[in-house]
Amino acid sequence: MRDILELRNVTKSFAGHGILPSKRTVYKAVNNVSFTIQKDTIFGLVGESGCGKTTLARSILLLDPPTEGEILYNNIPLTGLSRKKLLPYRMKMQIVFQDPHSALNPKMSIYKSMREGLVNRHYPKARIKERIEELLELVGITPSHMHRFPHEFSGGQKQRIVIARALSMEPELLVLDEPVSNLDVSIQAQIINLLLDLKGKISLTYLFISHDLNLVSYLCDRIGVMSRGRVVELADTEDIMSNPVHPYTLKLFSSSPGKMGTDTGRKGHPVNPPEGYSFSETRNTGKDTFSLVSFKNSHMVGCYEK
Amino acid sequence: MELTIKDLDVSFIQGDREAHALRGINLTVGKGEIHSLVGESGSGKTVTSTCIMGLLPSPPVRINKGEIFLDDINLLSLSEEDQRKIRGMKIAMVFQEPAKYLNPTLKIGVQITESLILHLGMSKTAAEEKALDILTTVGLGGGKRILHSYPHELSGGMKQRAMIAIAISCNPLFLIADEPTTALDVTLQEQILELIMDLRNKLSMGTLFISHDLRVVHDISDRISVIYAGKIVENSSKTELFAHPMHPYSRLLLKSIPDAEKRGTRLVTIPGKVPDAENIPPGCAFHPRCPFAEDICKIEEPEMKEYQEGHSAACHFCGTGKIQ
Repeated sequence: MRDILELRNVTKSFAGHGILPSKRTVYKAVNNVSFTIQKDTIFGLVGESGCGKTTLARSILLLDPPTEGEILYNNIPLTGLSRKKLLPYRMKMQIVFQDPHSALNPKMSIYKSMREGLVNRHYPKARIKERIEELLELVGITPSHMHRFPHEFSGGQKQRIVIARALSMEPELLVLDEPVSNLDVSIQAQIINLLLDLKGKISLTYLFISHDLNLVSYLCDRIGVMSRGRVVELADTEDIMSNPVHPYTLKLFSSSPGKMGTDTGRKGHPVNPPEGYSFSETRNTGKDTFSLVSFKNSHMVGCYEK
Repeated sequence: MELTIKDLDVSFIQGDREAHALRGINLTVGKGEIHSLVGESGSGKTVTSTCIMGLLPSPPVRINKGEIFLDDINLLSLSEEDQRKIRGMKIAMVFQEPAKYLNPTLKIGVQITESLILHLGMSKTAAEEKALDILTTVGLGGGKRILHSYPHELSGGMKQRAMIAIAISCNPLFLIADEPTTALDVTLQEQILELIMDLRNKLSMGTLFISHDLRVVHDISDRISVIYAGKIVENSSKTELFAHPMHPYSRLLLKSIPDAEKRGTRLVTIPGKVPDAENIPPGCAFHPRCPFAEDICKIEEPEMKEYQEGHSAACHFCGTGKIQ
């Protein structure tokens, strides 16, 4: 299968405290992350808040370009491209944010909100209305409601509209940053079904960011677990569910609520790291010895060289 | 202490519009019991909790009928003065977003000691010592540093712990936790849930735990009530509810939870949304969304009936074998 997105040693750092450049600390929100996403799959990124999931997503979309590392889209490096040259790729990668209430401009009718993007990409004017109707229909919103304002819709409906807006650019990759965590459980299911349906109708690849392991394990083909800016485990869903390796993954799994007796095997037991490596930094060499090591075939685990 | 809500019926009035938020809630939370109230947003969970606390302003709120008893005190008939003595002292509440309910301009220490000084008449120094104790109880053993921190200096989980510390400072007999973990991560969520269970064991407080997520409730509750459109539709012990849910709504809620086991299948959804409190459908309020609805559901409102000991539900077809 073809890789649609490849991350090579992506690092995003922010300046920390200190006025003098020599004393200024550097905080690495995303630290040396590498992985690939294959076309037409769903890649899940899991981790606690503050672990760098959203920063990574913004880096991938070059909203906040990474400080170091490369991002390749269909094998074309995006980092270093000028704004103008980046534009066509921007359209191919769209994002859906967590909170649908703040993602839509309350003063604009949803028709206007959706029109903006289409106008900017010089979509034929005569067809804009038709296209918006088509998109709304696709996500299950009555097209005749398009002149309504965001407050007239419920949370789930707003999230549908946000998804429709992202789709108006005809993207290939959709980054979903916790798209359902602000919604009720029953509405979550509706949105998740919608995402799966859309994938069946249009060729789409998802990068799905969430802290909900139940959901990610249901939806995704491959999962990356993030902790403190690093990917600590990377594996196909079946592998990681049946055999979580990294201590942090184990911790996440055991604290996931509602272990309703169906998944006793999921708690797992502590697993030894691959030969010559350890899960915690044993000595401070001043060098970064962290890397992703193959545990079993494509099941990767992050550990430190001994 | 035992909390009993009897036939509580509450409306919001605005001009000639009336939103019927609660339509006869019956609920009993025993001593030392964690009772969960589960439902979608807009179903009346928070109205119930704020009504117990006496925090609903009237107008626009009108309590049509019903009583709330804490042991033998009728909370709804108390004067504002007496209510204030109960609030914080006997019943305490933890809110959903700690960041919103802590005063950003006051140090945590001041916010905890405030109620100690007010309710228990402690001196400032004694209150501070007690506050340190409480902080250790809730797992914020950072000593004086925490007392002198402002809310913005604490992380989300620490803020929620501080909220709980404020809530339990006067040794309340009853705790209301209104979605205390919704804004938190899974790992923090687990810690807060453990803390609430821990406090129940230590202080034998009755707890009303409000949530929209059945998975969270599964770990913590003794009993569960499912609320829909201002009415309780099912009430049962936790194990019973998860093993044999009766009401179609509870069954669908349980089925809509995503899980690795369900990979490759479509999730079960509940079509539509919770009815507007201004416009509740006649008959069984759930009938427009119910896959089992028949003509009788549109006309007649089902009564709450006990089908097994301690397990009751309000549906015409419960126990008939029709709901599969």
